[in-house]
Amino acid sequence: MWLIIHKNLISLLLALTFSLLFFIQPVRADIKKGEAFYKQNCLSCHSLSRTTKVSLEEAKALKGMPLWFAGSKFKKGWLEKWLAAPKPILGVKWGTLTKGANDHPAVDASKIPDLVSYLMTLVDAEIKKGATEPLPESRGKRKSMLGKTRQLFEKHQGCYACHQYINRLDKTIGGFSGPSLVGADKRLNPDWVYAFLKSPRRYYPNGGCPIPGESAFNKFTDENRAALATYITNMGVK
Amino acid sequence: MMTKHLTLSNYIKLQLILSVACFCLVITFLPASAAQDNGDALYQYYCAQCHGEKGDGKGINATEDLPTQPKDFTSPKNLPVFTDEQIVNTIKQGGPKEQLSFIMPPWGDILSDEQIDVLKKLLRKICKCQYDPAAAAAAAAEAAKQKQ
Repeated sequence: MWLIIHKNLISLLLALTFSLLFFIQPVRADIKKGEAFYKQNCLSCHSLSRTTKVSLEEAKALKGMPLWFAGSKFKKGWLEKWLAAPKPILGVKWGTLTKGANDHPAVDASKIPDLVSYLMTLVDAEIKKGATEPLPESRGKRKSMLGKTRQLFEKHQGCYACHQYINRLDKTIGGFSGPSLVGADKRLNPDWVYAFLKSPRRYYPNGGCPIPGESAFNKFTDENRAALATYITNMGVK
Repeated sequence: MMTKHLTLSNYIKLQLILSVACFCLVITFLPASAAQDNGDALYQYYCAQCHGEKGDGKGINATEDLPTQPKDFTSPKNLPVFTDEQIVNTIKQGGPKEQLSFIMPPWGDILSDEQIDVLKKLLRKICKCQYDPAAAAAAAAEAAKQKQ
């Protein structure tokens, strides 16, 4: 009698486990559906073409940033959260010098996995991987490295003239015309930041970000770029 | 052969017509280039965020956290102390090239020499001034006095 009950119990448990596995299995994002959603809802503002330098009139007429390299630039987890509840990144209204937020529509939660999966396929194949050094494990070494890279950000390049950031006193300061770098640690991939610092016009041909190149008085080395990319993508890390 | 039927003058005329036609086609379909942007458009796109839309140094980036405030180009005191060459160098290679603030970045990798020249002329127009050696000497003397 007990044996029969025991056997039935095991069968029941197995059936339940298989049923649960069937229903709980992770939702597989559909890249094709994400692409279709993008083309229908995002493409009118966010171009997928690599553009060249255009007249300023044309540049000002753009409605949003190009996203042909979105998968290289953004971190997946950040994209998922941001698309559900977009928060302003720029300190000015798009295409103006007026302080204020831009209204970016939120994406329905059910569409986000497909859309993000598609965005992550939009990569710049020429980006060099591992161009930046990871932060050291030891707190002392980490502090020393971030201190040196902060010097580059604050004193050598003066990035905060245009970008909001967190200074050593944990105060958010800086200009408004460029994207805020508060939270850049969660948003940006270090390899993309390095690639941007190396070839800024590849991503934004008309360029509002004056990164020193050959014609600058103070030259900017690859080592500087890697250090700055490390600093930016560890913004606020102690 | 067709060329045997063409006289030399007709051949030259044909060449001329074809050249003009090609030139017109190129002009018609040439994309609008940055070189066509006028000084005001360049200023508003690249300079106004710090130096202000009117050139008064009150751009949206001119926060109190900056170590140096952006130059007010409308002031009669600020630009007469710089030669045209110094203005061009500062725009092209950044503030440190002329012992000015590192906060003034180099634009030489974005703007052409021609565009920088257009901007220099616009700044002279905003300040309604030219280089004044006497003002430059007085400013240099004042700076030296402050250093002592």
